[in-house]
Amino acid sequence: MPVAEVNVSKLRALFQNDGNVTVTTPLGNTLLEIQGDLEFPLVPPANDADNKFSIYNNEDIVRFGLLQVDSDSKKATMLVGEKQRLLGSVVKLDSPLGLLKFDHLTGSVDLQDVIRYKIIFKDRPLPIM
Amino acid sequence: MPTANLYSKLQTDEDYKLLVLNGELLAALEGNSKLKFKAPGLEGSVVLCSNDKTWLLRQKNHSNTALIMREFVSNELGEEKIKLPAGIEEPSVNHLAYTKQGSELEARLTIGDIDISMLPIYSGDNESFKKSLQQSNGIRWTVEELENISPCSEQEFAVKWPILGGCNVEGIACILSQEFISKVLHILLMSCMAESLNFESLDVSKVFSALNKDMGEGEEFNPFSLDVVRTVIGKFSRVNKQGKYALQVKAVSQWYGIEALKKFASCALIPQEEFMIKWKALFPPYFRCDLDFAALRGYFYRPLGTSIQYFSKDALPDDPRGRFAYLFKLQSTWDLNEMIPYIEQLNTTGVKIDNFVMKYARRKKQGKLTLVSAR
Repeated sequence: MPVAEVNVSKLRALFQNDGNVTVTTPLGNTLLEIQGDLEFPLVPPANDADNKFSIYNNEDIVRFGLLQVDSDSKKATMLVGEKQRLLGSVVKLDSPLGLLKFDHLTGSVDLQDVIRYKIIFKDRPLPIM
Repeated sequence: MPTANLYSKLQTDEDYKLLVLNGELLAALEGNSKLKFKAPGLEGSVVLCSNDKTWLLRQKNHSNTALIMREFVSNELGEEKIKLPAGIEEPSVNHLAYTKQGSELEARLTIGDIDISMLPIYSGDNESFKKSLQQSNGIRWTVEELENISPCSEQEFAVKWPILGGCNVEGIACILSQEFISKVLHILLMSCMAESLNFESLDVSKVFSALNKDMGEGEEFNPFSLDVVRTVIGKFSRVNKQGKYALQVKAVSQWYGIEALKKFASCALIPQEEFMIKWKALFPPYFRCDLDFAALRGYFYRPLGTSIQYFSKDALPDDPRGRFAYLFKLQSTWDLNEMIPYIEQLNTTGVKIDNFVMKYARRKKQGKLTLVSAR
């Protein structure tokens, strides 16, 4: 890739609007950050007793939890599986993050969104009683 | 509090990256500036360029997992009810994590660069230029191709390219030789004066016409092409808002000074006063400019303390200790001001130059002068 121009055509309106921004961007993206990693199998298991695995747009997906965000207190709760509960918060990023998509076939780069907030879970999970 | 179902793709998309949009990048995007990623080579660093700025990109890894999610609705999802913990509302929305990020790209403002080391040299002789191109198997670029592979923004390239002596000859990006630049500059100054062109507002086409007035229209090859004229004017001028070139007399004077040093002070020492006379004599007749000897710092040394001799800093070692040792071998005591051009590029941490020399040499004040000698 010697040169690739960043296409920003979809985002012109977003640059002018830093006022009323929510956790989910106007283009529908949300950034969620946790410590450590979430581990999933690469293929759905044969025995999916809890119906966690399904298919969306011909791709395998897994339901890994539930999320609640209180927009007033900026507090967030995430339930992972049936045993873990994480407490987090909504924070404004020091510098916004640009979401870039690289298309290796055409050699183009698309700036798809500008993310100004994230939901962050810094602490260890608590058990669900 | 509404509840959202969280889903993730089992194989997340790896074509996404997060870029930290610092104030400068945001300003460039808001100002409708085009941003370009440039990767000069397989091993070179990737840069991001706007119209007038260049940023070096660095990937900052972190141990957290950042999931980028978007809302989705699907009829393909299972109808089965999810077992919810007590006090949790039925989910009203679905979020799908489609990419997982363990790093962010950070952009640091840098100075755009053009690598001219692989470019052919043009000395005004078209036949020998063509022959040398045929004989060597090196890669040939057009100026446009060179700009595309250079870690440099468009505007920085436009300014730097002529300063480096870059030119388009026969559709190939090349560098004009020092001798050829000197020749073109000399004739160009005389032609402009003969045609009474205003040095503060030069038009390339008028300078080109003036320069070629006496060249005739015969079959003979004329080396002063429009591209050559544009390069030489660009090297010694600044472009004003009207697109006209304002000649930088100081830059012209310095160029003639360096030429004078090479001509008269390469092999033997020359007293400074005598050098000034010879320097003045090199300019075209009636060309008016001041001679600022300080502009030649970095191109001479004083082996015996007073008389000067030409010296190119390209010959100096790259490591600081070796360079200081070499400089003191040439001259035991230096005026700090005359030494600075030889050592400033080594001061990568940006400390005050007086303090920087203390690391490798001894410094003492003598009146207004700061003298530097070996430890």
